[in-house]
Amino acid sequence: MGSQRKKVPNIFLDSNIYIAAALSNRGGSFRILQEAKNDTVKIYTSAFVMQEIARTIKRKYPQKLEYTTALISSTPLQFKKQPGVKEVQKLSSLIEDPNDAPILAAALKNKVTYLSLWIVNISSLQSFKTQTSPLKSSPRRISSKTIFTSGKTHWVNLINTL
Amino acid sequence: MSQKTIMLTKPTITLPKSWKDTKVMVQFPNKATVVIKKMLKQPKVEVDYSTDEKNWERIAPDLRSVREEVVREFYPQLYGKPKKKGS
Repeated sequence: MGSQRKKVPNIFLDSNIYIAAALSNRGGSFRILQEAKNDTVKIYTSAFVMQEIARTIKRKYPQKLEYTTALISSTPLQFKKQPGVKEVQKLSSLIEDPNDAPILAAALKNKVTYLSLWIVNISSLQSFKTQTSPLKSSPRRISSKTIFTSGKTHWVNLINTL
Repeated sequence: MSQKTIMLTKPTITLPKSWKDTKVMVQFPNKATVVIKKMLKQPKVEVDYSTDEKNWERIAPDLRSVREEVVREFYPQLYGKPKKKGS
């Protein structure tokens, strides 16, 4: 009997998910990291995200630093394609807050199915998704299947698909 | 399908990070061997999404300020400043 690898969803998580997972093991944030350990989801990340997590935890929740390090290092994470300056610059002109561009660029670069964001304005992203012409000049076109998740409803739907 | 077999001989057990295609054998001093073919699925506890929302709201202001700081370091060009070499 031949074995078929089940295709698991690829997801890029914003920094807030990792921090929330470190603060509570009861929420969906913690659950999704556990799902990665069970190989039911593949999580992509970037050096940028890791830097944000480290700084936020170190400054605001230093008592959680050791636990967060253990939590993240025990989670299988994919550091594959990191966005370059030009890619981030192009995206920064298309979204409301240019500071969110590195997150979006890293997700697009890795062609993820799900992009989980919290502090990014979801409505601006939806309109961004429908703008195809500016993206023709960008290094990677956004996948039409990419689903932006933000806020509770999207998040619950995402967890339920796993 | 290729399958890895990990022989654990020490009393302390280090479990593999991923159980995918992995079989774990534990050998006891009396030569009895237990083969754990598959990790038992952990029971899925009910997710409390309200803790997510509460924590996300709590960390958002801090994360926002840290993000700007990290962007300035990683991508100074976004702020119109070319990255200086050796600084």
